[in-house]
Parts: sequence; C-alpha cells; structure tokens
Amino acid sequence: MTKLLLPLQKGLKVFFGNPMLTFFSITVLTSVILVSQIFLVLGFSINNYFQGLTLISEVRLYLDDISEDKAQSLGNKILENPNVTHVRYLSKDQVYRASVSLSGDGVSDKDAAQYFPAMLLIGTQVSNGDTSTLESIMAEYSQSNGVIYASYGKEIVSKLKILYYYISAGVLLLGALLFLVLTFITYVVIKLTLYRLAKEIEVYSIIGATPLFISVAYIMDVIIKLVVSFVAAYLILLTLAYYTLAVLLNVDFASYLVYPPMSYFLYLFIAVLLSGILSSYAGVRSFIRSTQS
Amino acid sequence: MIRFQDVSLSFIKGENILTDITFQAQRGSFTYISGRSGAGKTTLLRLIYADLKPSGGIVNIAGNDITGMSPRLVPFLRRQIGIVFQDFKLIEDSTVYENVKLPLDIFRLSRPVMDEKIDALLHRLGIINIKFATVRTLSGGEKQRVAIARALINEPFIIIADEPTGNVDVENAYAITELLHNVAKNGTTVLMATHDLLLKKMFPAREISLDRGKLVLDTKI
Ligand SMILES: Nc1ncnc2c1ncn2[C@@H]1O[C@H](COP(=O)(O)OP(=O)(O)OP(=O)(O)O)[C@@H](O)[C@H]1O
Ligand SMILES: [Mg+2]
Repeated sequence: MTKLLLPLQKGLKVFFGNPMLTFFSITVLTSVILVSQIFLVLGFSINNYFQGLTLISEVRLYLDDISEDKAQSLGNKILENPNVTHVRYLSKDQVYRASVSLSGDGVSDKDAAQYFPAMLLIGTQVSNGDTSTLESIMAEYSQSNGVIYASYGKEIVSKLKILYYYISAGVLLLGALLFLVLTFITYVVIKLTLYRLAKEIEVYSIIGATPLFISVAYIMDVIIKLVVSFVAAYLILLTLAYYTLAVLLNVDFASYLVYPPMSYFLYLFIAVLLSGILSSYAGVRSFIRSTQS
Repeated sequence: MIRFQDVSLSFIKGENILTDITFQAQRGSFTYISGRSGAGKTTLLRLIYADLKPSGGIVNIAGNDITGMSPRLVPFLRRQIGIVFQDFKLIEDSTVYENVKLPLDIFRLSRPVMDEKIDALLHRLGIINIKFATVRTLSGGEKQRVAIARALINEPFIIIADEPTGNVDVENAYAITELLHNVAKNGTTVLMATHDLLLKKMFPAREISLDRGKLVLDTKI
C-alpha cells in the first residue's frame, strides 16, 4: 500500500510544487485533449451518418404510354420480390411537377407534362451503398412490358462511397496527427517541469537513484495533470455541445447530438494516458542523459 | 579501494585534461587532491563516480574496473560512494531530515530503522537540533554538514569531497575537514579536493597534486 502511496505522494508534491507551471500545463493539455474529444465526436457522427445512409436506394422505371391500372399491376408483381419494400406510381403530371420544383424554374406549361414519362419508384432495403441488389432489380424489370428505361442513382452512390472513404482516411490521418501532437506537447510540458527541477534530479542522480526511480514522481505528476485535463476537457465539450446546439442553433440538444458511447471516451483516455506515460519517461531519461555531460 | 592506472581524459581530441594519472588510495585512507584552478581536480573526482568516462587507462573502484561500465549500472556504483560538493547540492525546500533520508528511500527501509539511523548520524555530526529545519534557512556550515550526513547515511566505501570548505567560514572549514578525517579513521576512503594550504597544515595527510592535468606530486606519508 505504501509502495503505491509514495509515488502518488511524490507526484502530488510536484503537482502542487509550482502552481503557475501546473496551471499552464493543464491549460495546454486541456486544449489539446478537447480538440481530440471534439474530433472523436465528429468522427463518430460522420461514420454514424454514412452507416445509416439508405436514401439512395430506389430504382426508377420509366414507363411508356401504359394505363395507370397496368402500371399498378406491374407494381404489385414487383412487390413480390423480397428485396423490395415498396413501389410507388408517379403519373406524368407528378413527374413533371417534381422536375419543375427540382429545377426551380417557375415556368408552368400545361401541355409540357405530356412529354414526361410516368414512373414506378421501387424502394429497396439497400443500405451502405450496396449496388449489386439495385443492379439486379434494375436488370430484372427493365425488360418488362411498358418499361422504356430503368435507372438508379448510380453516380451518386459511387460518389458518396468515395467521399466516405476520403473522409474516413482524413479522420484517421488527422486523429494520428493529433495523437502525435498530444505526445509531443506532453513531452514539452514534462521537460518544462524538469528544467525547473533540474537541481533536484541532479541530486537524485548523485545519490544513485535509477532513471525509473527518478521518473516515478514526474510520471505520477503527468498522470494527475492528464486526468484533470481530460475531465476538464470533457466538461467543456459537453458545455460547448449544449451551447452550440441548444442555444445557438436552437435545436433539441439530446436528439441532434450523435454522441459516442462512454467506452469511446475510455479508449481515448487510455490512449492519452499511455502517450503521457511514455513521453514523460522519455523526457526524464533524455533529461538525465543531458545533465550527465 | 581506488586505483587509477594511466588514466587520460580529453573532451576534445588531442587536448588532454588529464594525462597518465596513476595512483592508489587504500581503504580508510585520507588523500588531498590539490592543484591550481583548472588543474583537473574536479574532473579526476568525476571519473570515480562514473560521471565521466576516461579516454584511456583504467579506473578501478573496490576491485571493479568501471571504465567500460554500462550506464544502467552507474546508479548502483553511486550508492557505494558518498559525494560532497562545494555548493552542497541539497534540495533547498526540503528539511534536513528529508534530505538525509533521500538515499534511504531508494532502499525502501522500514520507517523506524531509517529514523534510528538518521538520528544517530545527525547526533554524531552535531546537527540533530536542526533536524526539521528547511535547508534554505541554514548557514553554509550547517548545509555542508547536512550534505556530509547525506553522503554518509548509506555507509559508503568511499567519500568524495570536492572543495567542501569552499563556501563555509574558517571555523567550519576546520570542523568539516576534521570530520572527514574521522570518517577515514572509521574505514572509509576519503578523497578531498582543496586549495586551502592552512587546512593541509592543520590536518596533515597524503597529498596528490595536479598541474595542467598531470600528477606532479604524491606525498605518501
Ligand atoms: N565538460 C567540459 N568540457 C570541456 N572542458 C572541460 C569540461 N569540464 C572541465 N573542463 C576543463 O577541464 C579543465 C579542468 O577542469 P576542472 O574543473 O577539473 O578543474 P579544477 O581543478 O576542479 O578547478 P577548480 O579549482 O577551479 O575547481 C579546465 O580547463 C576546464 O575548463
Ligand atoms: Mg573543481
């Protein structure tokens, strides 16, 4: 028990030994950790958003001049396919109006509608940009009686897929970069602490303390600083999220924030702690080396 | 106990700070290291506690050649050597007790055993009355006694004192030198670097003198 308490006691002594430096370190560490946490939330939200993407899942059949009854019976036949969730009929008029509202030119020509085809929209269970189901449905019904052309949002699906890969790669890259920055800043912070305590470390070195023995107090100090900074950053994150969503954007805080589960924060904390311990031990070692000319 | 065999040291190639130093110091002996400023006294002492590595020759401490010692083992060598400096090298914001206790922390002795050892030593050095004083508030003479107490607490084979009287008044200088002589009489090998001619007269002992890195005098008494 005392074996555990002694390093903690020493760490606390370093922590409270220089309030200015401790305050500075915690401010810097909190900022970096806050950025990582915001990053975690954003990364999680983006991933979540793309994973749930089912929007581009409709196959469109363009119809030749067939009556609505015929079209509906074709639709009912298609509905028997287990991959199909719903079928919707759009008349020439509806297609025309949808196209006008999409293109946004207010010109309305009563006769123009006749130049537009009627449509059957086939809804599927496709998600995550799985195009093979869409392809097979398209192939199966494009030859049906009265169908002149079939399509789905192929281009958009593939573009979204590429976008998703780009964003994923970017998130990973930035995450790794952020982690390096955090390690480096911890390293600098511990070095600052060490330079102030250079005399003390020299004394320890003279009496024959090993680098590990000397490091323990400073590693403990860094651990305490990281715990405080992590909690501070988390509280700031919650406040920030609440403020931007509920106050600035005036939306329901709870329902709009895609918030990662607590375990994600736990992983981030473990990563932060590991980087802190490693960089502080490296800092102490290189410092002891540099004092032993 | 301490054996130097043709030891040379240079920081820059071709410019020797120490040249072919050969001497031995037996167990329980007291030796002055003298010489002008810049002669190489501090450098010679630093070789003993492996703060520097010789460029040539052999440094042997207690039967072990430490010339090629791995940095990993240096702390273990230092636990057998007590070092006293001109500028004390104490932790100023801690108490006398905490400073003297530092070398014992490494060994994780039990508290009563440690306290008993520390009290006995502080009594012997006449500083038990300032046991809980903060080092910052002490006089130079008191600080040097604390430093000597820290050097002695582990009962080292060797005491190295680099101008230990440099920052204390004359009376304290005598007292500290006498103290180190007594330490030697108890079986510890003591090496003390000094400029002070009077001290050497008052407490005669063997003297090794350096001049520009060469051993120019060795009075084996
Ligand atoms: N790290 C170093 N790099 C280069 N030269 C050094 C280094 N340390 C010491 N020297 C040189 O070695 C020589 C001997 O220095 P040293 O400190 O051993 O002398 P000293 O006899 O202890 O002097 P003093 O009585 O002033 O303490 C000096 O010329 C000094 O400039
Ligand atoms: Mg010197």
